[in-house]
Amino acid sequence: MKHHPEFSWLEQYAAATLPLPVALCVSTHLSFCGECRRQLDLLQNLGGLLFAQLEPMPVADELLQRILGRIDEPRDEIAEVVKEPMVVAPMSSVAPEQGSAIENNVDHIPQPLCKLIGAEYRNVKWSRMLPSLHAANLSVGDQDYSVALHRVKPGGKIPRHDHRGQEFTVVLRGSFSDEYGIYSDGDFILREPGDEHLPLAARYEECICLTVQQAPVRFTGLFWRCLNPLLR
Amino acid sequence: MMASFYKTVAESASRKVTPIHDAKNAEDDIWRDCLRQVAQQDRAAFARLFKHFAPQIKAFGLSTIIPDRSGQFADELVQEVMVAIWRKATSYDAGKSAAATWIFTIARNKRIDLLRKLKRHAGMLDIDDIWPLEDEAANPFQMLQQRSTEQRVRESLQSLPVAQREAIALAFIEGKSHSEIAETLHLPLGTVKSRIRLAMQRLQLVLER
Repeated sequence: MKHHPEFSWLEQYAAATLPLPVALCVSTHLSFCGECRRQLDLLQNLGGLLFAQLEPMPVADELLQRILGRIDEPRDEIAEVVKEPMVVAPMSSVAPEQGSAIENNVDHIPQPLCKLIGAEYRNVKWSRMLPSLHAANLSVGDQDYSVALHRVKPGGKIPRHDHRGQEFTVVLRGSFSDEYGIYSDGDFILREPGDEHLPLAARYEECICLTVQQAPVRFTGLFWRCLNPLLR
Repeated sequence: MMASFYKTVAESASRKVTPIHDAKNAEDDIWRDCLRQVAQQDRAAFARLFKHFAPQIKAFGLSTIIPDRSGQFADELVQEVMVAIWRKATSYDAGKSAAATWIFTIARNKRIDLLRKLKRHAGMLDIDDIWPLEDEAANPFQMLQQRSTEQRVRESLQSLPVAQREAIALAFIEGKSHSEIAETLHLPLGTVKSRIRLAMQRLQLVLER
């Protein structure tokens, strides 16, 4: 992996001040990248220290009683228990070995995306955008960004496009290249408004990416929404 | 072979660290142990933890700018965080992070959760999916590094210029984005970004690539 989020993104991720879709991209990259996880650990240390140095504020004893009452209740969130098996080793850095298909997660979907995608990429509701390109919108409930998966056939081209807002891409499988470089599993790519590029998937396998785009206000019309998030 | 290497490193480092093992580090150890006891469902330990950390969590909650100013927010945050601590304590890795750091990450996540509920933004995703609390376990070498990092950052935080400390606290404690910090401090966005970056370099928190 060669392409990491710049320090500033990790810093904002650690403080949790990023918009959710952007944090999702950083988190997906982190699930591939041990180096960035070390960086994150350092930053969280700082958060812990600042937290520990806060001027304590008085808390009513009655609150402890209420909390003790709550931990005695049977668990209300069954979902929390059920979700565990879906998750591969949390934040696993190891690239899955071939043939070691982990139950329920055949495609080794990165943990942050498990709930959105399910266990296999082929079960995603893909729609064909171009002969070489399929896309699927993922709903994360943020109107300022569009979040989608893109799947490009081996050797497939995406027409040249530019960006009117920031565009974050994380490669989930396979690889692609553009004028700026070659990207593979886990790579984090940020294109700024005005950047123009012509992505091309590697010849030998299809390429699947997570893409988050800042949705420009003026393109909310129905026509553009249909093309979203592809052809800006 | 690796294990004995780690052991040797551990021994020599602990010899080195012990004399300068300051009061703060010893205090950290108390809370690390306390969390381990909480993981064993020890209620007395949980009450001790509450006494120490609930006021910190409350302060963290009170620093939040919230749309709804009813004042319940901070108390609700204390509740949510303490309940999560009780439920997740078994996954706490004392070698990986100080108790305060682990509790900070829980408070950070729960705050976003509560803010999203206030704005009725419940979505498909759990905040803990995007900011997972668990990580792979630390090896003995990392555990040592962790201790010295904690001490180093704590010390260099003392000598950080006030303006830099203010900027990082606005981000990590008040949860403000860079542009919100710029607004609060009446500074251009670029100045805020470079100020935070400088602080991080000074604290030696930027890993060389």
